[in-house]
Amino acid sequence: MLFNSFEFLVFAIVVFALYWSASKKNILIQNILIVLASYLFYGWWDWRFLSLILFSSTLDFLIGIKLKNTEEKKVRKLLLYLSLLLNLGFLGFFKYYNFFIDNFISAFSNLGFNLDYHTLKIILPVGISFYTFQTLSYTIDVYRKKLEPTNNYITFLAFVSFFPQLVAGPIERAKNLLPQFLKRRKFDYDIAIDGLRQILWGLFKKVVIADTCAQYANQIFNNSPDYSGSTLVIGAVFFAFQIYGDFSGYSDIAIGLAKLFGFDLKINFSYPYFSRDIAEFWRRWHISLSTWFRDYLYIPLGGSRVNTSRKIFNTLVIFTVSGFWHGANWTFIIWGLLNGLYFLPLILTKKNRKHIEIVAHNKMIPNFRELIGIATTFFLTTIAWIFFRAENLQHAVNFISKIFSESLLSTPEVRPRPVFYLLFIFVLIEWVGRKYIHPLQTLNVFKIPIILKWSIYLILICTVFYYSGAKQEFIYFQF
Amino acid sequence: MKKFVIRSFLFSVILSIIIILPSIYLYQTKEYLVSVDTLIKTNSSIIGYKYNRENIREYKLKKINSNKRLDLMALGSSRVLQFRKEMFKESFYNAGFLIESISDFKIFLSCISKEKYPKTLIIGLDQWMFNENWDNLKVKKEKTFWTNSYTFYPPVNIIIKNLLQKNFFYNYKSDNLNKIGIKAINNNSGFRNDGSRSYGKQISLLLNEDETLEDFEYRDTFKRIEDGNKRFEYSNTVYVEAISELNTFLKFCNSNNIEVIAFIPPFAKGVIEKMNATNKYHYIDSIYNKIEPIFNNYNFEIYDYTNPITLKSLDNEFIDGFHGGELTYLKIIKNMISEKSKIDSFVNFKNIEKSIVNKSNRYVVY
Repeated sequence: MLFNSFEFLVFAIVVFALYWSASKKNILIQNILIVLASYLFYGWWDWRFLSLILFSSTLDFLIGIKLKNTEEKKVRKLLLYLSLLLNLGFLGFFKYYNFFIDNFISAFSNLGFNLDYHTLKIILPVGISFYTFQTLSYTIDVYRKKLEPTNNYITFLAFVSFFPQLVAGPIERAKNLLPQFLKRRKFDYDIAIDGLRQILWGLFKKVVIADTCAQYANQIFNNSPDYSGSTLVIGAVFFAFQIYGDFSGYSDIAIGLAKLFGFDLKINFSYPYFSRDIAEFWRRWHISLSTWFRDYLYIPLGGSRVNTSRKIFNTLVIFTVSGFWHGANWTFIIWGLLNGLYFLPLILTKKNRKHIEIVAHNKMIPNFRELIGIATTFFLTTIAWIFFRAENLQHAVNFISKIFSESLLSTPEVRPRPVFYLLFIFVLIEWVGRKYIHPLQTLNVFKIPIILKWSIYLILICTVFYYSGAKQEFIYFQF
Repeated sequence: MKKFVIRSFLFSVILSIIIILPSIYLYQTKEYLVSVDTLIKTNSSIIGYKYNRENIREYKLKKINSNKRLDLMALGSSRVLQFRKEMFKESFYNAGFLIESISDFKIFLSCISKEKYPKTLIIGLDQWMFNENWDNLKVKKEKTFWTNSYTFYPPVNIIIKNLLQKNFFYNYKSDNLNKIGIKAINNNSGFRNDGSRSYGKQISLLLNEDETLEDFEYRDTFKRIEDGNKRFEYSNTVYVEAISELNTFLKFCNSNNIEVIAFIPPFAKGVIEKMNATNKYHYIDSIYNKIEPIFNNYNFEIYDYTNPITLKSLDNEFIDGFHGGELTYLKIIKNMISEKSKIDSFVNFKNIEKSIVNKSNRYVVY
């Protein structure tokens, strides 16, 4: 059930109506409804994997209770390792089994040993990387005694499976989300309206921007040997917008939906393409994953309070692991590593926290230096995206080599003008709204009359419908 | 909550009105929201869809299955659509536009109930069906390609397109009432009741030598030849698998007592010359020699009209680079008769001659 489908619209309306009316605002009934709705939503893809999510949730719930009841260090550590082993074991099996087998065999064959082997036809359960990280954060926080575990099984199931963010995040921390399931939710008109606006903007980003760019990006990436360097640049830029529109669009819809049900999810994207350096980019891109790795991997490794060589090691480790989290392919690993390399100069010169506020915070337009910073960061991330999108490393290398060839100066074979205009308008709207969670919040700031506001919503809805011909899945579902 | 529900309801009402208005237009024009079974019962003069040309596949199939067994049926791509019932004295239906590759012929026929198989089949074998670099034999179609191609509900993006084009209510004219689809109403173009193609407004544009025509002076076809794409992919050898598929199809016809008269449709003279100049389409020269023995095996007929000189058909009789007009297709029938074809029993030769003389213009005869 895709967010941009008719089935989901019906599903969301029915669940919303039941949630606020039939439940009579009883927390238990609301939570049961969320669990049932979420399991239905998840089972729509593949009901067989419901048992997996149920098992994972039950395991971490029981481990949480056990951790609460024991002070013995050895036992506590054992419980933590059990949770890590089983959760990461499932993730490893479903996501990485074939990758490791293939690479293991290929390494042996390079040494002259030919091993007989077979890979398994494994279907990757949707969202496994997301909910695994979410439950792990719970167990680790309980282990660290930073979080009081819950005794309420239904609440815990609801926390793990909450349908708006179940399959592609944001990866919520138990500390933020779990308490919200335990307290009475109140319907707030302004928050609900803001939620609807954010959903609308998310749909616009997904259906209009991402899916339109996808058509051309796919065409160019799939036939890259036939195109000139200038066309490949267009392909790479379109992919940069595709992945941004796709993933941040999903996050907006998820956060907006959660608002309708009285929940406050953490922001996941904050105008990353307006970043002035790569460190700022990573504070604004997939924030829930970046901070997860920071808190549960980078800091335990010593973070930046270590010597220089260790600092370099730590940085490269978290970026490489982050790449690997996206998928079992060397292209993702190199993508992560490349971003780590981009990051190193900033962390070594301690300039990684130079840009905290959004660019041109008190101005309408950026200065020249900021503009250069934005352009450079966009260029670097776009080069890295080529690895992310390519079929394999050879494809990515050939793609980049062709970009930096003589044909870069030729007229591109693919130059869809309407898409360029569309992207220009999109960037402009995002620029105007960059100080807010989503650009449609500016409508409130400028106190626009309701007729104009509704007209803008109608135009956006009609535009979404207009572009809704060929539905495409969200990219991040595969992770 | 009350405020939220009221406002959401109001907003939904406005949105619904916006969606409903262009939907009314789509219903009035019968572009959507009319079942295919209702359409079959309607004695339509012409069916021309703007958005959903795929609809015609299920429509034609159902029409064939609902009619009496046909004496003669034309089957192929858009390049057989010029055959009309007026050309024949026995029952005839044009099932053109339903076939894309050689393997389609047999699968399509298997969608027709056996007792409705036509007695004789005229099939058009497009040259590119034998080109490995174009042919889509590799992905064989499912029956649903024909049995389930009809779309009843308009997709929302189509509704919005109509909204932007300010299409809300259409003009009721008596001659529009039995036309189906926006193209039929606006341009008089689409499929006639006998399944043949009406080019409508395009004919008057051709007669006026209107430069806005897509293939004016064959510019679009020439571009395809220059780029080697869109059915004009280069190849020097005939696709072996296509020959084998053809054999399977002819065997099927033979075992079901369906007589087959096949022809390779003509290109415009200018197009043939352009293709020859590239020296990259040698497969076309070999098609006839490769397939003739198979036809002989089953005692079926095959004619090669790739070069319109065979028909004494002039460039100005062609609608575009690879679609001759009705006059060209009458010349095809005439030529077949002169070659002692079995088609002779379905036509009145004198009438054919008379029609050629009394044609409406150089493209349209009837």
